[in-house]
Amino acid sequence: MRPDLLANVVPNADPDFLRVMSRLPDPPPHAYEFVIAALPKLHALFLEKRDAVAKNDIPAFEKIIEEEVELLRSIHNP
Amino acid sequence: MKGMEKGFETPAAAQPESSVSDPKIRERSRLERVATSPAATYLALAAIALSTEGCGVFKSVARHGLPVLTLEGGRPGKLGLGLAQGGQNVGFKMEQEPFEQGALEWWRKPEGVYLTPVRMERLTQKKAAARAAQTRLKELADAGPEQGTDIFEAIKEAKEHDYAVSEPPRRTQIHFDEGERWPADSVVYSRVRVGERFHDFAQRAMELLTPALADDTGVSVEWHMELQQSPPLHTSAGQAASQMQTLRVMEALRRSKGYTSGLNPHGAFLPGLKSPRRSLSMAQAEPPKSKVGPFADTSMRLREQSLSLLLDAGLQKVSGEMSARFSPLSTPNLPPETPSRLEDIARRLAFSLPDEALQESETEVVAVKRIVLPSLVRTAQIEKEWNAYQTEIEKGSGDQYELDALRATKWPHLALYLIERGNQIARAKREAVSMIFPALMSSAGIGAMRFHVMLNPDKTEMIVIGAADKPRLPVQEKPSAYSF
Repeated sequence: MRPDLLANVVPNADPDFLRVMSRLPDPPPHAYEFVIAALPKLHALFLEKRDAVAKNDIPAFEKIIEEEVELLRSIHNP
Repeated sequence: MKGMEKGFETPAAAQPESSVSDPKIRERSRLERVATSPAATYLALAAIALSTEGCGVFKSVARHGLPVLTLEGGRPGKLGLGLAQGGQNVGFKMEQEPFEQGALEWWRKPEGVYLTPVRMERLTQKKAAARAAQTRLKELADAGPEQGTDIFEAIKEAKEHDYAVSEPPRRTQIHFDEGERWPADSVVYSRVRVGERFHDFAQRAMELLTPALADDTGVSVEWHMELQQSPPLHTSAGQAASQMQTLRVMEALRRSKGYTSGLNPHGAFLPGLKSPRRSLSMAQAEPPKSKVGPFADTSMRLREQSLSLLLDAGLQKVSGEMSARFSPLSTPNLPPETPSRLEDIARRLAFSLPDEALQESETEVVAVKRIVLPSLVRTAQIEKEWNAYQTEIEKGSGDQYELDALRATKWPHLALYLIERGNQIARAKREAVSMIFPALMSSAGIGAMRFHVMLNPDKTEMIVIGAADKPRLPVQEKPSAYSF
């Protein structure tokens, strides 16, 4: 994903987040808006997850993963 | 790939949500519909990539799962490429094979670098040289047949440059079986950097290795990429430690059962391979404690419930979209409901598969790419030369080498045409393989990944099938990729 796009959507994003995301392609055109809208949430989850791993906090980690999964499950494709 | 045996109807399509009363089935149906959503797929990929890189969740699994990558050129005497973990040479079978001494030396390097470095500047130079040679060839062809001898030299030069995108030292060239056509200098090596991220390495290696097929105008070429558990190590102490570690990891994986579908903790964006250069010392006989880590276990368990489903159906779609975006040669992808067997696809597309591909009964097709090769006009002059060439063949005059020389000297337009055709095919192969590669990488997991690259008889169309074996769990199994 292009860095300029990421910078617009997630200002002051974590460098690790930017690095990983920059390796992914741009979102497909017809999913573009949804993905862009979800990026800030994805970024927040990423930070929380990393924090949980650093603190060895398994319950917190599980909770974040479930939240991440829920984010994906919430997507409808009628 | 679930439900593929039922033809081309997905379970979600077969059972509309509204007509199903069972809430479980309804939920599954809904999830499968979600799975086809590009947004969900993209976010799932992003989430996994972020977990892999940012949180180190999967790193512990990979570090102690000791994954091994093997790339092959797909023929007897084929190119093998191995990646060791932890600074230990796990390509032990390679050492027992009839490689030339140079290759063995590389394989025994302790730091996990087994292959000849590819120097990118050489690659660039070669490409420039190939372009220059092609230009020269065209000039000579335009000048007329009286320049025949020079044309032959130019063709030779062009072909040499075309093959030799990399120039490994002679001593590392791999043994070729008698009668093999593949010129040794077409073998391209890639270096595995210590600590290199697996996915990056594999992607790079694939890009580097595909030109090795440039000279191949045959019907089928198969690529193997195998990601598997480590075979036992050399020393008894190291072997015991490795087996214990590996079994422990596999036990955790078995509990998670997450690797039976698309998402696999090893396969999906496989994490960086940290090679801490641990030695094969006795100290390693002591199995590490809780190395897999609760995070990895939890993560796998949770993701199995949802993300695998997303990836299972969605990766192909993303891959297809990337293909459509990047490839000027592309035709629209086949529908995602691809049959799960190679022969089904081949039959549908009227392509023939090599016998060995049909023997892969456990192979699951991950991605398919069909490419119509750009048309290359045969001018009247080329047709004329082609007919003359065919006449010579029918007369049975001379061997193939002589005919090629004759073709170059007497029929320069035809020679140029055939070279350009070969280049087109090579370009299309490279493109198709690199396009479906991400999907294959993300879904194959522990098992073999293969590319079947096929041309139809008149070479106007190409199909590339990316296939993955079912994950193979027994760690003691002899790796098939080592069957040189």
